[in-house]
Amino acid sequence: MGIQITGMALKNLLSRPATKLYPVEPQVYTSQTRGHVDNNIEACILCSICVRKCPATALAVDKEARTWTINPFSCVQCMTCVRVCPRDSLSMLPEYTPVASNMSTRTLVKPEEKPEEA
Amino acid sequence: MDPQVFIDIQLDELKGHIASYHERGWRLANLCGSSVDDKVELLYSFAQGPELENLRMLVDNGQKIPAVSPLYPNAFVFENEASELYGVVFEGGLVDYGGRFYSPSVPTPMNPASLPAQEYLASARAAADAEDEQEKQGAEEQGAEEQEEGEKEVPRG
Amino acid sequence: MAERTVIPFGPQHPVLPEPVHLDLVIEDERVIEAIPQIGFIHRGLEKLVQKLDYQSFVTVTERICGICAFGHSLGYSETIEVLMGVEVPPRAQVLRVIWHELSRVHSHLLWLGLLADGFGFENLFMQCWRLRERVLGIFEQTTGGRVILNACNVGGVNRDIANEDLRGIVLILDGMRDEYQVLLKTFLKDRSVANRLRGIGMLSKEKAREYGVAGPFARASGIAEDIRSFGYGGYGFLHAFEPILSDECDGYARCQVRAEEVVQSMDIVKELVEKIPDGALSAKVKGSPAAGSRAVSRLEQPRGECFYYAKGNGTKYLERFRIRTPSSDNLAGMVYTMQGCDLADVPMNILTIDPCVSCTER
Repeated sequence: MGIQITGMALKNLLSRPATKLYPVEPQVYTSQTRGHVDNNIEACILCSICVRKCPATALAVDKEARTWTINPFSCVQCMTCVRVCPRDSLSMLPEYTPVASNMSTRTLVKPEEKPEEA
Repeated sequence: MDPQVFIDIQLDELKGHIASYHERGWRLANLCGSSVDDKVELLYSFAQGPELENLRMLVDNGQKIPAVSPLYPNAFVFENEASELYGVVFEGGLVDYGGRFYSPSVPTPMNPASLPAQEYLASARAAADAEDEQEKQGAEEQGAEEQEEGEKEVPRG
Repeated sequence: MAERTVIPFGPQHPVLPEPVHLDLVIEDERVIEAIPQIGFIHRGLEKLVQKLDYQSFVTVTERICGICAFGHSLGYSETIEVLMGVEVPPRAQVLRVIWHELSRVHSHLLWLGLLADGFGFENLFMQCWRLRERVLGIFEQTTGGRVILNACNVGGVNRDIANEDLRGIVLILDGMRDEYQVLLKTFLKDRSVANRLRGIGMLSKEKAREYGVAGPFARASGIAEDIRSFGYGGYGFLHAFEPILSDECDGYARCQVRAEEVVQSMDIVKELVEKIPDGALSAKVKGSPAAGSRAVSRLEQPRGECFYYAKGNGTKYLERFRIRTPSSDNLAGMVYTMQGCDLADVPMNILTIDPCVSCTER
């Protein structure tokens, strides 16, 4: 049985494995990989368009406290927020978030604006 | 793009229509329920090659509908689905699972007459209203912000 | 008359990739009747359409099924475009078809691998999945996801593939094609494959028409039904499309149709890459579907014709969205082919029909 793929099987025997020995050999992300959302909080204007468009309700913005919060456990990496951001402060980075031992959110605080230079 | 043909029919015409499609060798492509106010709308779609025709029929809750599965056996899935999710009663179907096909945890979850569906819809509408409100606010603020930006930019330029 | 016994089969079974439960009524070793039951993974995604606006719902449709992910987002987007009268730019249409056909390649390779695993040909299973990995690699390179692509949106596509990357894809597919020919030869010429699959689950052309089966299941019974041949959307750019047919009507024919469709899909991608027009990626979609508006659309998924129906109510939330997947059409045919088959052939029978239960239940 399987005369036809004998050649292929022999070739596999002599070539490198098709799989990766993962933790030893690190995974190479492509530039497009959707790992996690990051916010350049300085450019963010806290307009909360991303909060309204997020299909997974993973984002929250508090204008009083000047914070932008993401719940990485709800985020589905759909990039909707990155596309709708009017200031392009949101971006999708290829690295996945590290393994966590408890569910937590990530909050970024926008620094107070410096007074306008005269 | 598929042809968009929707034909409104009455319950007593249904049997004749289905027999005529069956005779001409059309295939039953779909059967689904949806709710219109306090009634259930049934949509029968028939296809043959690129042709596609849809029959629309409004029925009351609990009204008995002649089943199509004796003619089109593949309809037994759709009929059980419609009866479990919308509470449509089909008569003379091929297999009647009696609510154990999908086994929904509440009876007729998608029929607006059922209580859980009402609660769901109410919460969805409340969320929608709140969001619309927010969007209006957001749009105004966004506008104001844009203006400010514009004003700031003028002296710089 | 022998005594009748009822054997429960599934929802957890080594050959079943997805949960479907069958009550097999058997007499000695012969199946008299099979009664399917599903509902183990019913998630009520059709109801969710009332809570998420029509543009966000694309992300939900992609999560209906892990194999047909891109197809469902494409079908949903096309339905909403018909509903709202949106004209999709030609480049977006062609890109959609390229991704969709690549999904078909990966879905069929996955299925061929599972089939090989099902009849105990482990090496063939590994080779199929090794090739499939390259398609997933293409997906990751072009969209950033291996299963959930997030490339399709109402009005067009979210991201572009540069023309040189498209040519790179063709090079990858050409490399795959040479290796795939070896696998194709194994599936079609090897005696052990034929011995296991010939005569399993016979469904004649007349019965296939009567039971309204779809996709490769129907085409293996000689029914020339393929939505792609109508030239909707990006398929209109192809100079010709002939559905792959077989009139042997058994499990072997289904295997043959799917195995040959992989090559056909690779050809489609190659042809479209040469013909892809330049231009915009997405049309602007404004407003909401009008009250009382309805739209139907069909799409050829890897498993067959998929039917979509959407109904608007004047708000940005749809009133109703319905997906009739190919597998729910094929359930009746599957039950029919099960009658009279040996108990030992039941796993093969289910596998060659390839029901995708998470699509069916949504």
